[in-house]
Amino acid sequence: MGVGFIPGFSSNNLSMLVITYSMISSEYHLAVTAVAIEISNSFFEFLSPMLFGIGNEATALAVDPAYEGINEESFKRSINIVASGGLVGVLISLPLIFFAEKIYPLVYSSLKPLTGWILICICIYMVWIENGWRKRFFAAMIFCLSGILGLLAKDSGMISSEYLLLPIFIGLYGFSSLLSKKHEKKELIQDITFAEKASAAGKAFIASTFASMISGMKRGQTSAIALQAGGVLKREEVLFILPAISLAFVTLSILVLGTTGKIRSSLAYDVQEVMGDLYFSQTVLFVSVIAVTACISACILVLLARPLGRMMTKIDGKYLKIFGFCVCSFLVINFTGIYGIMLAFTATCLGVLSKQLGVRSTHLMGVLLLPTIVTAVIL
Amino acid sequence: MSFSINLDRSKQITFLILLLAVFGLAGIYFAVKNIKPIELEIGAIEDSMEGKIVKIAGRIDYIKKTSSGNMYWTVSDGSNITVPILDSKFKKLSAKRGVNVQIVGLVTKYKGELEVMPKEIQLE
Repeated sequence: MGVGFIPGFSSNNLSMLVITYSMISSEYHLAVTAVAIEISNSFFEFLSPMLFGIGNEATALAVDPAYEGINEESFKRSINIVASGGLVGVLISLPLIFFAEKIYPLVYSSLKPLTGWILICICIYMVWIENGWRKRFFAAMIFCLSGILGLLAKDSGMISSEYLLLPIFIGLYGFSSLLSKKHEKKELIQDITFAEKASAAGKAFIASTFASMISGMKRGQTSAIALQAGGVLKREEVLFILPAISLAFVTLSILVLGTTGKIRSSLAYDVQEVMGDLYFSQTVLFVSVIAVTACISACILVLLARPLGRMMTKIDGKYLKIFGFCVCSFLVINFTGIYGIMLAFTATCLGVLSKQLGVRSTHLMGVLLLPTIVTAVIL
Repeated sequence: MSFSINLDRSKQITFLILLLAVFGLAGIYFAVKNIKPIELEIGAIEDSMEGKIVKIAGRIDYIKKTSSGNMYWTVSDGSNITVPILDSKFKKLSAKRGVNVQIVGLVTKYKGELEVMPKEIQLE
């Protein structure tokens, strides 16, 4: 749980530490521990964008709707929405257990050669749904510039791959939000209706199922595509759909591991590392562990909402911003050095530029999508 | 004769940010071009180096070919490391077992094992 509060520290690191140094001898117990850590982190990692305005690959898109939820009630609602979204994400992926064994091996290999072209079509659609040619041009420009940043940074050897995305996402969604919110007054987060939840859950299900079948797609890319293709979404819907996709994707990655042996998430990597190839019965066991951990994590998150909200109201928003800025700067300088500063600076410019031009911040996800497309089409 | 662009303040700021972003990208491009590979022995490659460019030298101990045409070299200088040959330009090289080789490449991890994804290969 604590890892969720620490921006930049991945739960994968903690899982690997547990796997490496724990005294647990049973491989089942180790794998279950790794699953529990990853799943609870998938819930708690949404606290970091809400509290400090810092997001990672999966939560960066939540920075804009969640950060500056200043009011206690608003913060509490945001947390409730995130918790219910995450829980729904696990629930919607459970029925796929019955079809996974037949569907995944077949669809996975058929779609693999088409991955790049499918992503190109999705990206063109993402730009096309902007209003008017002017906005479409700006959106395409932001997508391409972010994509170039991703291409330059990927496999460049500048920074170890563990921390490569840290300065990029801090720049695109962290610093840029901190710099741009100066004159912005936000309305408070409202409760989300059942119809909105159902619609968002449907979108999350389609996006994550589709993404789980395409190699190269990760949580960040899936979230970006779901938000873009999902049309104009309210802030509350965004806060619901992001954890839903994150948790659904992680759950499905275990099904993909069990049925095709492919590693699609850090959780699947941990499980594979400990257990080797999974039998289908083991896959079902791990999915059950995910469901139980998700229920417990969602409850704890909801229980934390009130005390955290109270704490938030006691702290002046200005100081919280300064603190967020200092944390971001420390992470970039400490973990990534001069190259990280260059990446963060350029990413911040792109993040601020997208706000100045009035295009959706999801186009900045070109930083992940363009390199994925290039790799898929060329290799 | 003078050229001037009439832009209001907001557009000027936007234009300035765009320029900074482009300069930033250019700076990153030149920084990446000038990154020197870390020269080391194969045994010195460790997990924390994942994503870094290294230069290694050794002998090709084993070549595994797959049905898809990809090759996997095991390069050794006392310690071993796998070098996946996925790029078509490297597949054309006439590499054989026992040949000495110098490789500049990216340290990556596949299924928990460290590999060097080659960017330059020199057969000796």
